[in-house]
Amino acid sequence: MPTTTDIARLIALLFVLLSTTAFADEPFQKSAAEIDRRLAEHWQHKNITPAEAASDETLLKRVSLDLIGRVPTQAEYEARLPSGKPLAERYSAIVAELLDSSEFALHQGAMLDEMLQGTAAGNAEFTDYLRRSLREGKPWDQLFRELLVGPWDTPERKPAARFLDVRAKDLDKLTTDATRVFFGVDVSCARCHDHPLVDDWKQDHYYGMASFFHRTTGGKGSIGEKTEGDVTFKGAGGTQQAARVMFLSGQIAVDPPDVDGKKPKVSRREQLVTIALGEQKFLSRALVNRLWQQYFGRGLVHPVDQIHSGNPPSVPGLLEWLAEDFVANGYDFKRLTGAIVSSRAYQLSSRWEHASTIPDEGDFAVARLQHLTPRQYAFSLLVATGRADYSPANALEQRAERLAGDSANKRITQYLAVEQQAAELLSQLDPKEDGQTSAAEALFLSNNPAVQKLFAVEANTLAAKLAGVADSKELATAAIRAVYGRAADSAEVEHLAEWINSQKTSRQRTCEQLVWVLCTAAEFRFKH
Amino acid sequence: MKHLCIPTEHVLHRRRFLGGLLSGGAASLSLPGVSLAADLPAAEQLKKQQKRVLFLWLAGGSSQFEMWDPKPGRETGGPFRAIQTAVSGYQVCELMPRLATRMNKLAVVRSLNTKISEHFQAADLMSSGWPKEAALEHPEIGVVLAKELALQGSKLPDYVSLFTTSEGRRRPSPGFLSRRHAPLLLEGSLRPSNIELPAGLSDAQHLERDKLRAAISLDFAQQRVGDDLVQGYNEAYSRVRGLMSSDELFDLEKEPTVVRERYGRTPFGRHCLLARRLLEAGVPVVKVARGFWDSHHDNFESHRELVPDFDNVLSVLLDDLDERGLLSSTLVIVLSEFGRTPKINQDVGRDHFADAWSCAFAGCGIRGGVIHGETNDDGTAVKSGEASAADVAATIFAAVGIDPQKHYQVGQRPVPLAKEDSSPIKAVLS
Repeated sequence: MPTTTDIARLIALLFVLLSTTAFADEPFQKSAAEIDRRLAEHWQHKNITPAEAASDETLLKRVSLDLIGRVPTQAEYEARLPSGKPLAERYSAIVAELLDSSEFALHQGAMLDEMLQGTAAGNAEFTDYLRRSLREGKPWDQLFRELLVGPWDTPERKPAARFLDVRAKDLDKLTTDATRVFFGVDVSCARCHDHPLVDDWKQDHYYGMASFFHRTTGGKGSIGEKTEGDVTFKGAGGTQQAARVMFLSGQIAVDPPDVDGKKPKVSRREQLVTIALGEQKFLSRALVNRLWQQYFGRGLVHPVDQIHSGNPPSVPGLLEWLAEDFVANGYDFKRLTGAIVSSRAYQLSSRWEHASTIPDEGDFAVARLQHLTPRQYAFSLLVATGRADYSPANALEQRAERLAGDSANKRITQYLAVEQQAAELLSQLDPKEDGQTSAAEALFLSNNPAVQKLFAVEANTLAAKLAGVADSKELATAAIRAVYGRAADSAEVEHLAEWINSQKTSRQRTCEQLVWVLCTAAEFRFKH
Repeated sequence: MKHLCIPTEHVLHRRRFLGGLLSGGAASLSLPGVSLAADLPAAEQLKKQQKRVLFLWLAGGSSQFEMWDPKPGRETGGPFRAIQTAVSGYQVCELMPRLATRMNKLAVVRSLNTKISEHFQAADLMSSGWPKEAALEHPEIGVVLAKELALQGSKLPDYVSLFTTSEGRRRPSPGFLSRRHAPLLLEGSLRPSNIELPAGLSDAQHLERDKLRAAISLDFAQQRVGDDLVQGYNEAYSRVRGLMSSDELFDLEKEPTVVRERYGRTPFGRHCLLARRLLEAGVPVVKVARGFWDSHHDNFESHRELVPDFDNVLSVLLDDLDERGLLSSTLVIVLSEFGRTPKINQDVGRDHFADAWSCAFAGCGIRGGVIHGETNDDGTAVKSGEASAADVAATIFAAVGIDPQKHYQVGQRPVPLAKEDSSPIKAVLS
């Protein structure tokens, strides 16, 4: 009689076979297959049977939220999930379509802005610079270079200096942020002494990294760099010492030899970019790990700025391989994203129905609930309530787009309009990092007059459409379909219909409250 | 903005709870279990065990010379006299006659040396007890206390922060702690926003729709990995009704006229009266910020205006808390970001000074009548009993019975509540 271990091995083997024989007509599918192979091995090794696959509706919603920052519209649900046809047949094509859409660049640009700028995020010029870069398919290594050394010579390129500009007056912050964001390493604890918890990081590393930024000047809209000046620091012994211009790997920046007894001009930041691009490892692993976290809610190395030898990735070898693959494919942001969301792990259910204990978060064998980001929630609220306009271009608009040579014109305008609508909600919604909801958000959603108005019966809103449905069960079914994009089960239809019938108010009012309930309930507030 | 058609100035920044949106005509809601704690026997019991903290934040930096550490007759002393207090041998500035008679309730630390004399950095330092770190944002002490002193199942906020002037307008940062512990902010007005029943919705409908929201959320969470998030989410919504029904709590008209007269009609007086109502009702942490202390010009004129108000309000507050049996369980802290220079500048002002200044404590865990530390004759340096910002933080935690070296785990790093090298100022602790 086979043991559970045998069965788990058999299942894992089956997946290995399936994934290696999977069709691969999109460039990211090959990488996805390798992710699957490595995770299957990991699960087998740990004797884990992963969760079932998520339902088609759930997966479509998940990938829309992740790639374009909102739930699908009714039209998108209908077009992408025609009845009777499993999503798996078209999933790769849909992912490719989403990756190529203008909304992808718009949404990911905003996400990158938050990733790079942290609390200083939200500058429109900088965000639009990132959006343009993604739309053009600019590789990550080039973006990295432009952020740190430019050129910032044209109005289009000037906003790239903003990463440095908001930090230029604070060397500690500039050093720490740049090292965390681009290389996934937090050296700040090694400022006053060698890192107390991490053997890898010594004072030499902190001041080495600081040396690359020490000569940077500006901070009021223009960035410069002095040609002289070196960092000194007080070492553990209390003696003042000169810092070596040293990267995290220990590689020292070598200045070119003197010419006619004069030191030639060197840009320390240029030296940093050269070393980091030469070494590849730090830059690529940090981004891969951050994107992985964005989609799974947790990095392969956790926390994402603690990549060091004492904190190995939770799935051996996967981060390293994915980072090499990322470099080998030209630091292609879209391709990497496509690979991650096409992996089997990404497509798993957030339900754990096995009798065994839930696997560790770092095993990625089951999806986990995650708060939507404020941006995802605000956009999705506007989509679900019928307040956002995503109608396709009409004949006249198509003609205008052809003349302008930009077939995405209308969608970009629509996106920016929704973004403007969302702005007033965004500041009131809780960020996802701390995973907690505040009473302030609950009060805002419950009572704020502007928020209540979102749900009102007005032309084309969801509540208005639902108000025309006379039968309570039909109404419940239609509401679930519209807000959650799925079929309702009979128990919940009973439950909702009973509530609908008990309302002592007009049908219109009841529909408004029903939409409020569905949009503030967990199924809509969380990615699942 | 097409659909959210409220004027931009009324759209509140996250957690800025008070705006012009809400005015008058509050829907009256009465829910069992949520009212002034004093009305309920169970709450009476709770009241006895609960520790509370009130921060009085003198934003901009008050002058120790014109308050706790006068130097009469010295070149640095300024024009005011010093007066004898209830504590033998200890004098305060003549602008504080009422507090002088209540000095046996207060403990004063005259020997703060906190080094940083730039507003923002100093405010961060004093309000968190930690120097700035590039990669770790430390929470404000009030936020830590809100987390530590929170009552299970309370329908009231764990922390309320009040201020009306621009100088006091620094929102307490939750730092690496969850935003769940961030304070409810009252800015500009004394009532929170979004606590009114939405137009056209009855109280019963409001209640019913949230019940349905909570129920289908729990259904959804079944067998989900991460269902604890949904529980936390429902808890946040469960506070909504409590906050709405605490509307009366924020209404000072509910206080007898004689009490309102005692506190005075100044903003600081009104805020402190509201603070007392909140503390009494079971809000564990309250912060009142009072601005305009940054007296680079006409230091003496401004202190002649500000200190008597402070003197009156704090005296009334201490008496009131005491009479209600709350003082022994309520820690009151008077703190700024720094003090002011001994040197009187050419504009008859005093500038920023962090080398030798004062703060005061009263109530829970505090030994009244203690005057800790000393500055030199001109008040230019600490002579004895030097204390740091971290020591102040450690003292606050110790006073309410929390171990200052208790750790939070932040990623891989254990972070103590008060900095590792700090120690509570034992002399002021009871």
